[in-house]
Amino acid sequence: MILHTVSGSPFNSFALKDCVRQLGGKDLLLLLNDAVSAVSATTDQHLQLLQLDQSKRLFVLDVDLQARGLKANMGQVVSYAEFVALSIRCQSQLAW
Amino acid sequence: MSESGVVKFSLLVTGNPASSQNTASALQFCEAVLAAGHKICGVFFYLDGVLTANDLINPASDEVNIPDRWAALATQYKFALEVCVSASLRRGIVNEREAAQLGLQHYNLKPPFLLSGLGQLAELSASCDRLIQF
Repeated sequence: MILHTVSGSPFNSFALKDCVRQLGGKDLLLLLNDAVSAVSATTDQHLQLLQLDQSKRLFVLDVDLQARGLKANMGQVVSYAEFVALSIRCQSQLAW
Repeated sequence: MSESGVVKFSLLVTGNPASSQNTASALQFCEAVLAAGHKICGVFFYLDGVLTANDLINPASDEVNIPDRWAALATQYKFALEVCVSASLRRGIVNEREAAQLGLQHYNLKPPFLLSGLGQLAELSASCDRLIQF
């Protein structure tokens, strides 16, 4: 099980698109920095993100949402402490 | 992972501290790791991340001084801040020894950051339970 972390905005980088394409069946996805906008606006990856959310594998960093004045329409909103716990739960991490 | 539940983390930081959020994110992650009682083996700064080790960085007084925060955390919790030497020299981050060897008039590596090589990253990666990249 891999924790995938995406930082780049889905509107100016291919990170999210490339990541969801490579995501394994049990892998988790955490959005941070500008990537948090993917759960607030509609992106090309909307359907895939919804599916991930339904299987409880989509996470969004709370402080990065707050810093941008955004609200999450999907995904579980997590703190840095929960980010640490997720990184322990997964065997490794992959930064996109 | 140890039986006590303490997890050893190493961090890899690659973002420019002035123009990306990357270094600030790594710092907050590092603080959360330590607050949870886990251990930081070391932090490796690579690519534009090496700019964090510039002792001349001086943001406005109402802004967070990220290099100072790293230095304080590393001193308090006794972990190494390793900086890739070739990425550093390319970006004008020099310690006293390199400055003398290269005949430069100044050096600017912030203590306790240390110039080291990619071998040290391999070592950090091998000695920890989790390597987290930012």
